[in-house]
Amino acid sequence: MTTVPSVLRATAITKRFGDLLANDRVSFEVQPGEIHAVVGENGAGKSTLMNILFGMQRPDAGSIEIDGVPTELHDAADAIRAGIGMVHQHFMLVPEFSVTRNVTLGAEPRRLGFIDAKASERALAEPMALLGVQFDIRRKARELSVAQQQQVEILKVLYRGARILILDEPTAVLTPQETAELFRTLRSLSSSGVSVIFITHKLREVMEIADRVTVLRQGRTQGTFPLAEVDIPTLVSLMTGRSDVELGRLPRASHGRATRLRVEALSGRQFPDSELRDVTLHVREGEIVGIAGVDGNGQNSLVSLLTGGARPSVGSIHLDDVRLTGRSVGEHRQRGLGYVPEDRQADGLPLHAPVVEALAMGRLLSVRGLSLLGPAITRPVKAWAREMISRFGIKVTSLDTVPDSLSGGNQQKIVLARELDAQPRLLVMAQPTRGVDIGASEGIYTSILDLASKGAAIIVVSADLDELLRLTDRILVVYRGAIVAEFAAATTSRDELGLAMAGVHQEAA
Amino acid sequence: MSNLVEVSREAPAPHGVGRALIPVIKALVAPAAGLFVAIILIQSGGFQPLPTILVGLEYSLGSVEAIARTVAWGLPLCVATLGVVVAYRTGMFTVGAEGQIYVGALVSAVTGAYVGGLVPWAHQALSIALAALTAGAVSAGLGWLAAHWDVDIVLSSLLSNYVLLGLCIFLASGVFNDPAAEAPGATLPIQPSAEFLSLIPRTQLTVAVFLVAVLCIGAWWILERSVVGYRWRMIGESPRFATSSGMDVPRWQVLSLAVSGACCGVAGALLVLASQGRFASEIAIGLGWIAVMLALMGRAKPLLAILWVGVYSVMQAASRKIEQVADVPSDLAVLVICTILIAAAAAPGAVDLVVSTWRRRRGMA
Repeated sequence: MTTVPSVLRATAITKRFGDLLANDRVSFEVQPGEIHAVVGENGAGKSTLMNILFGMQRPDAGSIEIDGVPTELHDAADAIRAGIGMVHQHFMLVPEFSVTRNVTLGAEPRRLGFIDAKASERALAEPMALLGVQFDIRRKARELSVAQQQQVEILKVLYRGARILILDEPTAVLTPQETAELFRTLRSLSSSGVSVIFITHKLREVMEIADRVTVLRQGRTQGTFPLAEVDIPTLVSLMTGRSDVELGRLPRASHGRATRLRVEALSGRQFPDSELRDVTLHVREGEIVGIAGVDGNGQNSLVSLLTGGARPSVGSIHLDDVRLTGRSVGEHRQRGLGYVPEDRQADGLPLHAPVVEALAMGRLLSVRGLSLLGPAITRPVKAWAREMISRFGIKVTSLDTVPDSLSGGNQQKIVLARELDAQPRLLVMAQPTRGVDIGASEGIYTSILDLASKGAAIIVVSADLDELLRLTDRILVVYRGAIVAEFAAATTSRDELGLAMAGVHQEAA
Repeated sequence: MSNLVEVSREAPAPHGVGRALIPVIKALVAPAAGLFVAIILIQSGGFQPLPTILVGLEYSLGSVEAIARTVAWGLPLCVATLGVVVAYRTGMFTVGAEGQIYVGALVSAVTGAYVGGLVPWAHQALSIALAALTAGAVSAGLGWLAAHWDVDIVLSSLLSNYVLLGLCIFLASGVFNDPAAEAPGATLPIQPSAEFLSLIPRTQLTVAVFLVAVLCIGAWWILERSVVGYRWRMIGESPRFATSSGMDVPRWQVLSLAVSGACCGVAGALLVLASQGRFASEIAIGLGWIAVMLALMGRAKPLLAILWVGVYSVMQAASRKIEQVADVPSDLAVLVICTILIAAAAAPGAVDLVVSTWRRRRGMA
């Protein structure tokens, strides 16, 4: 393998953000036509390295060679010219534009100064053949499924002549079946000579798709390995620096019999998610219930209705026989709700406020009367915040560090620390470990199990089926706003869940 | 604690004295740009810039009387600026200070002139309280429209200025008009019991300075230290976070605008009770806009905003003197501060560009 010349070689890349050393002499090379996975925990420096390779950030030191030629990437335009393309986790499509216009946007074929629509459509033929997909390129982006939108994003990159494709967590938004489809297209690309850099947390996917894998830990390269030389436990220990990480189903104590959360015939909607229709759901004390479903099938509506963010049109919600229906988020919280929102940067944290203030919200929310004029961040609050930082392993330089400067995983740990410490009786979590390291996820799961053992009812909405299978007692599948299937987590499989998520269960019934 | 230690151990010391100087350069670019504009303006009038500026500074800071005069002028501006800061903390970008200052001025002038039989402190307190309540209610109303009906606060507060100014001047020229007054649209003079006690003769510095000092300390405490300030800050930082945490965001936003309006009302009252002795149609012209500008300069931080009020008051007094001795527009202070504002916004980017270009040329990238 080493005799093959690299299409991309990054040598001794170093990048510092303030006090944090995000990349410390990272070296990395990609060969033509290979699928190269990059794995690492949060804060390991994957995103920084990819942003540097895509010209979005400049390294403090180190060099990049493309086809053996030293290249300076000042911005993304430089990277695109050099044949590098990146597909971000969050799609950047114009919903009202057709596939063709989305793909060619900003680089349209022109004729006499005007966009040449016919040439645009013709220009799509080659990247579509390369990707091995076929769909109506006149359809609007909003009419496409998530998987198709992702294909359009890849087409955009190929249309601009990319020979090196960077995919940032591409399977986070896909069902297992769609993931399989993506892998098929990636293999087709790689056989055409396109190199794919595949950033992921999911090691099972690495084993399934990659030719080689590079592991980063704390900003340093731990090594690059052909797939044949590693297995999942080895990768986990390289990523975490620990050899005792358990990946199987978590040990669960039996839960109580009393029903803690009672949801009856609930309907309502949180735009733009699907409307939730006639959902009945009971969660017992100490029980962890998982909600699976393809994004947009009513999970967000369910979470909003359960937490008071949206008001139900019909139905009722009771927590320990106390009616919550129609009450505000604040009233839900006063009555024992804990809530870990899906979009942690918008709903879970104040991104530019000190971490101590982000942690203290729960404590300061109960302050009433004249105490409102009293001090907010007192010494005891600071001491408590330090304890939280230590207990949840939040990596910050001081209590004044702002969450915006932290990795996604560290941000999530702040949210979880705050919510779990309040000892809620009902905890609603959306994507609790999305973007969180394996090591830290373990800590989070332990805290969730601990809370369940104290009798809390817990609802986990997650796109990560492995997480639901490991952590929960029961898994409910939502499809088009209704609960269409229920499985015992210990006995079901990814395939069974995947079929139900695609609506097959319902259609067969 | 172990995590705190771990990260700081990883981080080596920042390299180079040059790197440490960059923030200092960034901070100095804006005042330097302001000074540059002042020099150009004075020079273009055919006067020597430096001596002229020194004469202006002498007038604003050269003696106890000069300082007292400058401080007295700055007191209403200080309170109004703090008011605007309070609103900006919750992300409510109101520009309605001007109208609310006028409301406060008129209400206090009417209370000071028409309510009688009160001991001085009660008369002053009543005049200020009514001014604060009225302007606070107006501002809270705008806040309610924004928080509940999504009415654009910039637009509604902008338009409210025209309505309130027009209304105040209409009333001062009509029912409350003093025909004997020289100034247009003037009300009756306030009674002696409503006037603040003078501290230094011929300077208009009154005991109001103590009231403003208390307000400054109170504003700092509430905004920077208290639970109320924390909640306001969180709403301004991320309304969605505040909502999902269970805060009643509209209620707290309306409260912040009520307090903001009350401060502007007090500023208007100070103009009447501690300075002019009556309402006149030009009593506060432009003051609300300057308050908005200084709140922006102070990045909605109370101490920084107060500092800018100080700087602006000195510049304002100096520019008045400079106008007398040199042929320079009387709005010199506004021109200079606007230049500083623009330069301050552009400075970080400009300095970064210069530094990175310089490094690239020297091959230090």
